[in-house]
Amino acid sequence: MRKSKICNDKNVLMVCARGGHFTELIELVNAFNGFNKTLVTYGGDYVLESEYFDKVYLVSNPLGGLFNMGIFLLNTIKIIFRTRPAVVFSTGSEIAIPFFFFCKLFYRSRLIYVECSAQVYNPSGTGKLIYPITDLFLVQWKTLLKKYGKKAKYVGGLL
Amino acid sequence: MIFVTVGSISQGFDRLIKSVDLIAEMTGLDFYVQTGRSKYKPQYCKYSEYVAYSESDNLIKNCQLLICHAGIGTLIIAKKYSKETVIVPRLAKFNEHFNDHQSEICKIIESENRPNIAVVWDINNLTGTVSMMLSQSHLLSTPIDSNSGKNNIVNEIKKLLNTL
Repeated sequence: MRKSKICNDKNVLMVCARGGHFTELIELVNAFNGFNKTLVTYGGDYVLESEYFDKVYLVSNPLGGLFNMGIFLLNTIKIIFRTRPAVVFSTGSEIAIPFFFFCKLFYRSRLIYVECSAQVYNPSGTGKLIYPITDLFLVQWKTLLKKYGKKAKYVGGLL
Repeated sequence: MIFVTVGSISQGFDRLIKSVDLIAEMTGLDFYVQTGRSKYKPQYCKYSEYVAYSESDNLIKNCQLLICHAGIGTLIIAKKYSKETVIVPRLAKFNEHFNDHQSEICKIIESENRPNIAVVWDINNLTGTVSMMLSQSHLLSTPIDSNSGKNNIVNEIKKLLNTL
């Protein structure tokens, strides 16, 4: 019923920052086997491996003034229009915010967010912002459940 | 080989790298250190700034002992291989991270009393903890983790995907 005809049912957009967020995403990537997996993450002097994905977009960090933010948002829109995702998945952090809001708005994508296991007692800023529009919201520590509403679920953690 | 890794964040972790270099000098043990943006360059260890994800996975899998910051990326891979691990949390007061969430992670892991993990709160205790872990490592080995948490998360995601 919620499904939009204009999104591509086989496309999943995976968005995450570097470091632990990336490792968490890779650990869970097999859940999406059978879908076309597009990754969006930050570029930089890291070594990137794309064998897990069908397509990879590297974007610059938006937190560096208005110009950077503008470039970032333009790239975001371009990637979303090219991908038309049925599902957006993220393990954090702030890079997920525009993708979650725009994809919900344009394509009614189903949104899946796994709160980073570094959040033991307190919600992340990103988690709090996107919680209301997210379809499946998982936390990785029981201690965090009471900080979110009923929709948040705990089924175990990666750590 | 003892693998030392401090992750991909933009701050250095000189406190740990210096301490490890000192242990390498004293003991002659074989260390491989991923230094990140640390200013201090080890003189008695092999090192590189960054390693690729799959190489890091491989080094953690095959090392005798892992010494690392409390970054979740590293800890998740260490858990996957049930690796003997010495964790040193990055602290905000030394400008090693923007806050002290690594201490929170260490506290909750310590509270679970996992047999093959030791947390070092005072860097002066690193040498003692490393030698203790090395001497006991044959006693600590635990079976490969069943990763029930991971499987449960994957199943939750699949449930949603099946409704598409």
